[in-house]
Amino acid sequence: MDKELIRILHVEDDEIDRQLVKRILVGCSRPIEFNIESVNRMSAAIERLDNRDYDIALLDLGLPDTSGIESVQMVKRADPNIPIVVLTGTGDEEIGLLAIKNGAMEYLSKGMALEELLVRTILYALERKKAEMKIKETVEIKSEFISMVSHELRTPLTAIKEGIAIVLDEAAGEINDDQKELLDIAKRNVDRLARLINDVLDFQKLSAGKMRFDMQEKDINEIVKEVHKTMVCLAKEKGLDFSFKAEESLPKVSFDSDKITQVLTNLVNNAIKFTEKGSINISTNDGENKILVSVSDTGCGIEQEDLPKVFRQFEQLAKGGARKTGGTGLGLAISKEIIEQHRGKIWTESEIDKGTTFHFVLPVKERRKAWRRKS
Amino acid sequence: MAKKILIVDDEPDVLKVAMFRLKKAGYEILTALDGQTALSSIRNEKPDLILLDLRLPVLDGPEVCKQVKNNEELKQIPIILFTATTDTTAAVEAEGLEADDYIIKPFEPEELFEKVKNIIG
Repeated sequence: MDKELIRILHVEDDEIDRQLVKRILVGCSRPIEFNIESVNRMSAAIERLDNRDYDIALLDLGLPDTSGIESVQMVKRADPNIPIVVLTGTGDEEIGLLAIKNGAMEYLSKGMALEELLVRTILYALERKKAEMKIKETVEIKSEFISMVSHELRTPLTAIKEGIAIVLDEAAGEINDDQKELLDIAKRNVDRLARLINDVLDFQKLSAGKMRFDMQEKDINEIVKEVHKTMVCLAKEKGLDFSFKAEESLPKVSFDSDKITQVLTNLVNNAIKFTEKGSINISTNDGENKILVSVSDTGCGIEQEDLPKVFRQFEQLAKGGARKTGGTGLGLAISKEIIEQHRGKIWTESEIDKGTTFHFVLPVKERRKAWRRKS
Repeated sequence: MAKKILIVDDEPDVLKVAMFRLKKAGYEILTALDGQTALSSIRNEKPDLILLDLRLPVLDGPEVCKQVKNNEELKQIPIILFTATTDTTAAVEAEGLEADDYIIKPFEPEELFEKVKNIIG
């Protein structure tokens, strides 16, 4: 009978521990052949991972050239897909759990009954990895599918949209009032469909990390001012006051102007939509190491229990939903992705019948990660 | 004589609709659904502008573009390329093929209108 072959990279500097692991695996009674390669330094482990394929890594956390969680992170960087089983010193539960939080599959304390646990843990980690990869693949197929479908929908829609526009403009001959009314409805709905498709594509790209960001250091007030200028008319049409209170001399932050403009436009649009009387206000403020932008309204407000839902996809809280507001249900989900990919945060506060405020912060300086400084 | 615009696309609806206003303004709009038909139409009709999709049946867009630009008699005919790829690769492609301009699909009709007006006035 053919034995299953499992290739193991064992990263361990202690000779006795190394021999122990080897003895257990070689002496295993299951129909498995373990091919064990041992190295005693992280540098050597990374070199091996760069050049060879392994099924799994067994990792000691007390190496001479790295230690603790950093070891897990370094192996992950060298091979993002390799399952890692961490071996910790006796009674070091905390570091083991931390290793799992950092992407290790499982940890074993050297004090445990390794004879029984080691093989089982390795097999379990391999199976779990397989399942994880399968899920990842499914998610990728799904998101590619969405992106393809949305793209395919856009082309025929362009033809329909322009066809309607030409007839409505009477460029193809005069039309009567009934025809005009019907075409106006068709146009409005085609526009909504186009927005929906664009939003789905946008959201898909953002959440798959495929959206490109053109980051530039700028004064946020410049683009807030721009958004205020373009949207003040829309607010006025509804009889709302729209003010902009800028904190002068804000530190510059790094952001993609188009994307942040998209977020601001979305927030202001929502504010106008859900406010029947009163005012809308945008303000900018200097926070510590970050800048804060707030959009507040005196609108209908959001129930406390509904607040966590507002950033979810296709969540329409308003009665009548999309039909009443003309929204796609993706605006805030897209805004959240955009802000988070700027390493910022977005949240909301609201009181029924008093109004709602959306805040977001953008970090002034990207904080360097500790491991980067060290390596 | 009316200026002629040749649309080469296997799915020409979008382009046809987009060019409707030009047709009304007196331009003659011709269409070809594949590269081979396009080439013979170009030789026979000598259009004033070619709107050329890169992906075509029988003979693909880049080949049509090359044949036009390598032909002494035809090479002065301006070509606008249509492509579904990203911005930068499209620009590079258009330059390599000596096309006069390019548009990325899906596009807004006004965008096409502007480019056409810029080229043939």
